[in-house]
Amino acid sequence: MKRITVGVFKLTSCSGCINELIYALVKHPELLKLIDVKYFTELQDVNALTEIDVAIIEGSSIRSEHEEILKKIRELSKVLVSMGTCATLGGVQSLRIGVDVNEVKKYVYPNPEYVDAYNDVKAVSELIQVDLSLRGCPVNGDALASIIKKIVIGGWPVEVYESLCADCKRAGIECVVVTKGTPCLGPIVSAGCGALCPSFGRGCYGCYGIKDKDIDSGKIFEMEKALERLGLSRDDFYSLLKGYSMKLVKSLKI
Amino acid sequence: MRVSAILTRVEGEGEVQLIIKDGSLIGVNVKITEPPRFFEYLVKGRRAIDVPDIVSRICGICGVSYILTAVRAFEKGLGITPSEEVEKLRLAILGAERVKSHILHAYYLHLPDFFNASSLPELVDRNPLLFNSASRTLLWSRKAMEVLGGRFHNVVNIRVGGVYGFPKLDKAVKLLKEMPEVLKSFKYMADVVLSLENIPMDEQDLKLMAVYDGSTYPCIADNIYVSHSSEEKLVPLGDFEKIVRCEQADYSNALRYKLIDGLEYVVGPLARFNVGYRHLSSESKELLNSYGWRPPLKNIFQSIIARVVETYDTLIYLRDFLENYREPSTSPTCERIEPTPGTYIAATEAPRGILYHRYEVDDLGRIKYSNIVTPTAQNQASMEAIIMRMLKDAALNMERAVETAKRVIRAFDPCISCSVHSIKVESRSVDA
Repeated sequence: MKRITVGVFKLTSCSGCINELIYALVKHPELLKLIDVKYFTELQDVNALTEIDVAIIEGSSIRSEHEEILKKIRELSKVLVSMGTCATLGGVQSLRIGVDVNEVKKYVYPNPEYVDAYNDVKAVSELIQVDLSLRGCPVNGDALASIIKKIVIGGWPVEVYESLCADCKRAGIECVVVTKGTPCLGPIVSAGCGALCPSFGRGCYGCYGIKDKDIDSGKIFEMEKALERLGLSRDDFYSLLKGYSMKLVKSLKI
Repeated sequence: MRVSAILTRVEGEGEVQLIIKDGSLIGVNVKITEPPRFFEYLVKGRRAIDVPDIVSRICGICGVSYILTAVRAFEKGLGITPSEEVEKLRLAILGAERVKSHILHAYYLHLPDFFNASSLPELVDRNPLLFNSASRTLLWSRKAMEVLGGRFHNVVNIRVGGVYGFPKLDKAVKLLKEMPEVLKSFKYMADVVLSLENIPMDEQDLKLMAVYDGSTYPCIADNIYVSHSSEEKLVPLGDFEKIVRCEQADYSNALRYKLIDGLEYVVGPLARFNVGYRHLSSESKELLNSYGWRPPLKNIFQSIIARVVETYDTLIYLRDFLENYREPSTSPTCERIEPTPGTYIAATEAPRGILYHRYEVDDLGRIKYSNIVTPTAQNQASMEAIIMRMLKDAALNMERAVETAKRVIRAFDPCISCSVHSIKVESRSVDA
């Protein structure tokens, strides 16, 4: 079988998804025989920015330099994957959106003029065409391994589109809203984590991002009211949406 | 003349730059090219209860350390004492993270240096047994983090006031059953590292700092141990910001921490090991001594020895924790968390060293100000100083000099995404 060439690139992020990828390579070492890694600075010393079959991107764009890098990677790659919540939806750094970046810089750094960042935090798909978006903060390493294997044999992953509640039902986890009155974002959030938080008796805080096909601003408003009755303030609810679903917050204009 | 190289086999994005004039090295610049995420701003206005999940995302490897430091700061300030069961569980999650982080660094990122390999895949080809042994331990640490904390990164089971839930006993028993095999695998890897003959042994003059309570191996404490010019002292945590200073050298591109008198210092496994050796389990000491290694470790390249023995010691802690684990019937948390205005401080030993958090809370119980000092920001001045000392008198072969610089930096296991205080500054011009 012909090995596919792969590049792994990092923008604004914590490397948590990249470490999930390293886990995937450790858990499934046969992957190392299926892929030819051309660019992956965390893994190897010799790296070349060259034409590749698959580009995997972690992190969001916070300055124009990132937009240039992304355009270059898009030109060089056949398939482009946004890996994790930062690349796919913006990530936790989006919490600063809405405030002049100069104020933000001044708040953290004594020499704010040296820091290069624009007002916005952009998901990869806001800038270039993305062929496959993987959610999760972090992304699930086993899902990643399975997807890479499918692409190697010329296949494509099938998207499962359902809310976190489905994960809870399948796993037989008691609904934390019904049994304990705990605020939970489950009904509007994408499944994929296996309902981790509810499995510990905790409400979902939405780190896989809100669903993007059947959730409109009206439903978000209804959710806001329901959560407010359970004790989660409007401000805290919208912070969770900004922190893990910023791209959708922008498009829904909420 | 400036020679730059991208840092590889480290977490995050950085560069090392050597500044050369008339054939001699006159400056070293560890550049952090990692984009800033402004975490101190992100937590501003948030409730104490929301802070752990946000700061966890500063680091994709050591998020538990961030969570626990924040949690500890608020609990301490509010006078909350979690139950013994909660404390033990949280330390077990922190321990599983230490195992994960050390295996990732020592075996997958750092060990290729000692075999002159340029990557993990190259090492896998050469020694599949070593790779399998490392994998066995890493994969177990993942399972442990999943059972105890929810997942490998950004664990969901730690909160201000306790934990969200106690793990089921059958899952803990399953983890324990795998332990003998994991320890056996780990010992194979440990054997490879502890018998390495090309670890530099010359003495470097290192000033060390670690969080230390005087009676247990450095982990979480309210004092800081400082070794400084053959003087050793314990400083109360509340004075931490008084004994260090944050500086910005004109040739550097980042804020770096030094001792108040301007000397650079080292945090991390080597510091912890030298301070806390006597608190290691007898099994760990036996393993170490059987290969002839004894404290103190005096060269930064020996950090890998400290990582190996810490990993083993932590596996022993986890084994004992699991052997004694019973599902507690007590509540996992203290429900009411309402911070009063004031200052909240804590420090933890993250895998790479001292992690210090200070939060100021306003009248509404929301975060007004925070200061997060990361291990890598503290080690940065030492990285540059050690490279400078190693290369300044040597006849410079450019390729080898860059390789040496990269290896020194890698020995520190820098976590560049963590170094949220690092900023980009244009370097001053130096005559070629």
